[in-house]
This record gives sequence, C-alpha cells and structure tokens, in this order.
Amino acid sequence: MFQFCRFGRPDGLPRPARRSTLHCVQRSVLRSDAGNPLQRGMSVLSGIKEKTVSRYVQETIFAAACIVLGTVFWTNTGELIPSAALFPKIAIGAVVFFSCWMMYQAWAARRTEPLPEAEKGDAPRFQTTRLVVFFLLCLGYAGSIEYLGYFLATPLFIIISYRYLRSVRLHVSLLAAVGFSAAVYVLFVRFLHIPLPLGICEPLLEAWL
Amino acid sequence: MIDSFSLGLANVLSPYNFLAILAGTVVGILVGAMPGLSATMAIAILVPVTLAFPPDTGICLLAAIYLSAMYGGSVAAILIRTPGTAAAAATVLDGYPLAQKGFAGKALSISLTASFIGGLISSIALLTVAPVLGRVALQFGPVEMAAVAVLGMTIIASLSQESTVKGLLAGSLGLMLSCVGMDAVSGSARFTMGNINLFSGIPFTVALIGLFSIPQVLRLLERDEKASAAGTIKDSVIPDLREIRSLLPVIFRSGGIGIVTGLIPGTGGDTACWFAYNEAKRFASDEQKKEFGKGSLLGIAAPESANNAVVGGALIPTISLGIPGSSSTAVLLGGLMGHGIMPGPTLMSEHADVAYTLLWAVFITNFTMLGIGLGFTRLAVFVTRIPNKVLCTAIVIFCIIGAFAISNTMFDVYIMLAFGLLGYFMDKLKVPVAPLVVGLILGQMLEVSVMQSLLLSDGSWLIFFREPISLGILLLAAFSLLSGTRTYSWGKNKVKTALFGTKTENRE
Repeated sequence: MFQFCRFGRPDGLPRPARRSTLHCVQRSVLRSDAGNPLQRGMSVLSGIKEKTVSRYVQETIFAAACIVLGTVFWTNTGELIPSAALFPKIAIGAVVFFSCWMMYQAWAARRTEPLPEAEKGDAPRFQTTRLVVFFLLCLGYAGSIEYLGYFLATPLFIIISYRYLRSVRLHVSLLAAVGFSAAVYVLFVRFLHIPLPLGICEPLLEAWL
Repeated sequence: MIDSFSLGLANVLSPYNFLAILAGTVVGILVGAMPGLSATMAIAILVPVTLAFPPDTGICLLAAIYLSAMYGGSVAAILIRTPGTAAAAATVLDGYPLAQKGFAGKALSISLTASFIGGLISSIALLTVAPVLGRVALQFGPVEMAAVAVLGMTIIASLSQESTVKGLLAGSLGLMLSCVGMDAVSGSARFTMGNINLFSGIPFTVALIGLFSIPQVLRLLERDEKASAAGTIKDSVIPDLREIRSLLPVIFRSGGIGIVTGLIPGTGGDTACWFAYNEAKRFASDEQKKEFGKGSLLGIAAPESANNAVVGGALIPTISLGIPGSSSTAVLLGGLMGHGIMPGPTLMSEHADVAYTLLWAVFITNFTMLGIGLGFTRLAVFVTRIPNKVLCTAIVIFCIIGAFAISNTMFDVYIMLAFGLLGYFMDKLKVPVAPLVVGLILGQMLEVSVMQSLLLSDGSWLIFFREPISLGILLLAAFSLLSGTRTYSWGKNKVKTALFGTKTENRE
C-alpha cells in the first residue's frame, strides 16, 4: 500500500519514460496473507487488497483532505462573531496554503523520487491486510465494550486478536485473556478507582464490584 | 524561589512520589528495552492513570519513565542490535560488537554510567536555568507570549524530518483543531457540530494517546518480524571506575551536546546521539578511532550520555515558557493539562509546587535509574523477547480503557482511534506529528495572547513589531523558517563558495 513508484534513476542511467499518476495507481501488487483459515477468511471478508500507490498520489490525497477539512471549518466560521472567527480563519488559511504548497512539492518531486526500496529487492514485507483487519478488530472492541461490558469484550478481543495474529497458542491466549483482563481491572478499578463499562453484565456484577 | 526549591525537593522525597519515581524508572527501563515501543507512547498511555493521582505524583511517574527509557533503549541496542528507542540508534554501532565479544555486561555498565552522568549534568542545568528563564518569562506580556508561541511553532516545524512545509502544515492543522470548542475570549461554541462532547474542545490527552500509541501498534504489526534472540550477559554489569574515569571527558562533552540539542525544539535524543557519537570520534586519538564500530567504549558512552542529557535540555523551554521541546515533553505537558495546569510562563509561579517537583523528580530519577539499572538490567533482557504481536493487543486495550477512563465516555475512545489513524497516515507520509501536538497545545495560548494584544493596540497588528522583545523573537522565528528552505541553503552555499571555495550540501 505504501510503496513508491519509480520516476527517476539515481544511478545516472537514462530516465525511463515518464509515468502517469494513473499508471502508478494501476501498478498494484495483490498479495494475500498466508496464514491460518481465520486470517484468510477475514482477508476475504474485508475484501482488502494491497496496492502500491506512489508517494506523489499519497501526498496529494493527504493535502487534498486537509483542504477539504479546512473548507468545512471555513464554512462554519460564517456563524461565528468576528472576534471568535478571526483566529480560526488564520489557522484555516495556513492549512490551505501549506496543503497547496505540499501538493506542489509532491508534484515537483515526481521526477527525482528515489528508487523505492520495494524495487531494490530487499524491501521488508508489509502486512497491510493484517493491519486493516486488526484495526477493524479494535473498532469492534471499542464498539462492543459499551454493550458487552469490559469483562466480556476484553477477553474476547484478546482471544480473537491473538488467534488472528497467531501470536500464541490457544491455551496461552485463554490464560492471557483472563490474566490480562484481571490485571487491568485491578489497576483501574481497585487501585485507581476508575470505573469500567459493565454493559450487559452490570446487573450481575454491580453488587459484587 | 528558594522556598519553591525546597518545596519541590520535599515533595519528591515524600513516600508516594518517591514510589512513583521508582515505579516510573522500572516501567521506563522495561519500555525502553522493548524494541518498537517508545517513551512517548508509554507516557501517553499512562497519562490517564496519572489523572487518578495528585498532579505532583503523576508528573514524578511520567518524568521517571521519560528519563529511564533513554537508558532502557540501550539494552536492546547492545543485546539484540535493535535500538529500543530511536535515541539509542548510535549505541548499536559499538554496543553490539562489544556484546558479541562477550562483554555485554561491560557495555551495559558503560551505558548506564554514561546515562547517569549525562542525566545528572542536564538535571543540574535544568534546576539552574529553568527557574531563571521562568523569572524572565514572567516579565512577558501577551504580545511577547504570542511571539514566543509563534517561535515554538516555527522552530519545531522547520526542524521536521523531511520538509519544512509538512511541518508547518502539521502545526497549522494542530492550531485549527485547537479552535474546536468554546472560544476562550467570547465563549461562543466553534466547530462542535452540535456535539456536547466537543464543547470543551478536542480532549487533548485522548488525542495524544491516539497519535502516539495506535500508529506504533500498526507499525509493529505492519512488518512481519519475529522477536530477536537476545544475547546473554555473562560478565559483570558493575562499572569499572578506572574505565569510567578515562571516559569522563567524552561523557561530559556529550552531556553538553545533549543539553543544547534538547534545548532546541524539534530535536531530541535521536539527533543528539549521532551528534555526540560523531564528536567523540572526531576528538578521539588515531588509535581510538580504529576501535570505533568494533566495540569502542567511547562509542557507547557518548550517545548514551547525550540522549539522557537531552531530557533536562528539552524540559527547560517546556517548564519555563510552556513550549515543549520534543514529542515526549509535549505529552508530559499534556499530563499536566489533564490536571487543569495550563502551560505558559506562569507555570513556575502559579504551580510552583508541581513545576519544582518535576525539576527535582528528573534529578532523583538519575539515582533510581542507576540503582535499578545495576540490580535489574538482567531482568530487562527478558522483555526484549516478547513478540510484537503479543504487545500490540495489550497496548490497544490500555489505550481504549485509558481513553474511556478520562471522562467515562465512549466518544473519547472513537476520537482516540481517529487520531491514531491520522497519526499513522502522517507517519507514513513523513508528515511530523510533533508540530501537530505543539499546535494543539499552544493553540489556545496563542489565540488568547493574540486577541489580548489586539485589544491593547485597538486592533493594530503592528503591535507585534513595535515591542522590541516581540520583534526579536519574531525575527528569530522568521529565520528558523528561512533556514529550512532551499533558498537559504542555496544562499549559504553561494556565500561559502565565494569566501572559502567550498560547498555544503542542501538540506532537502
């Protein structure tokens, strides 16, 4: 996903024909996570494939997103009294200005972009699918903790993520789920007196906790 | 000032605070020893925990983690050839070869002693310079404060890793996001989209946890790496005093380099360690130069002394002016903001107890680090063997529970994850995160100072150029920006070529 397209040859050899942005996006490398059935299944379910997108495109997208965010903020300044809108307008102006500058820099650097590590042959393998699936698992954990409660959601998250990442064996992940959940509970609730969400377990645990 | 000094010392030596320092030292060494985990991330994750303590206890814990992680980084660098933190990168060059020769204990003892002495020098600098600078800063009015905030922003942006423009964009984004919530001057709600959770602004601590922890987790997962097999320590980790005496000049010089590097916002241990390593090599005799890269003691002592000295240097502008010198100090300041202590030149007067406790905590941590390092470094070897995949899940749980714990709302958890994603993409595009954090911290202070200055001058912006101190600081800010541009490098080369007939390399 984050490998760069080659636009120039730093070794002094003749520069290849200039490639279009579209070409860079199209040059995608599809990889699948070799791993357990859960990993493969989740990769298919998520439908995410790894692609190489040039640095130029990535930077342009980021700068464009900043401009869009700035524009959204700017439209909201209309509702504010002038003194409250002054500083935000300066900040938004700076965001838009530097975003445009970053876009220009990315465009200007296309020709001199160095040879990407991926094309040197010694590039590390990036596990993008694993990354996206793990982030979705985190979102799922955050979303479920309010309803399932800490004592159900946390062990489930530990077991599923350890199984998906194949980090430890099943019995170890079960032990880790119980041990780690208990340790966090003791630290936050017993030691620091910070309440944790109990969710559907609240009627059962309220009296005990 | 003397009262505040003794109050700070008494605070640090109180049982709870001393226990917090001990705990922070252990956590710092262990986190530093784990390759891939940084001190900044550990501090960010533990900020919600410290909110349950009094501010001085919380700040003792965080300061101890910050300083000890610098030494902890060398454990992994020496034993498994992977720097535990970026600041220990230069230690790998000579630490690992020495460990390969069977002297891992010796390498660790040199690293620990150099870290101790470097940290001690910078603590003394912090204890002497910060109060004086704090008194000077007390004379600053809103005009000067606005100029100082602008300088902090421009310096940290111009020293960004790849491009000044990216640093400035990140800083501007931080300023823009700091506008969310109630306007401090007029009290009107801005950019809240009717969401009551945003009326008090973007929760700063939550944003920090997201920006520094989630990208770290994703980076660890991204690469399919297995835990490296750590070397064993066969010899003693007790330092040989004769060897240490011969290394004192390089340790002191590197300590000085560390303090100065730390003072400059935007540069930290990662810069200081290479700077000190190069200087150690430059000052070495021809015989000693041959040893560099093969297990030279100078090559271990120099970077380790410098990276610990950075802590005191970076804390000087943080405490006296409210301008964080690095990501770690920004997060440390975030810890204070969580307790309602706002950064700025009044920090040392209005919250003298906390500010002086922090100064002394850094000083005392050097001794706890030395003691714990001598006794328990062998245990730190085990944590270098924990696989990244195991750590990731644990970190995420801490982040989510920590973000929830701050104000018992799931909204904060989603904000944390959103900032985590933003931080990850920024990291991928080499857009620095530190200016964004500094923008978030300084945004409110800058806005209030600018509005107050404009009220004083009946709306004239010229007030910032009429006051001599403000003008000087703004000129410095302009210079810091210019120095990061190609035009400056081009001009410098032209002048050098004209004067000496030599050329320097462009920054970009």
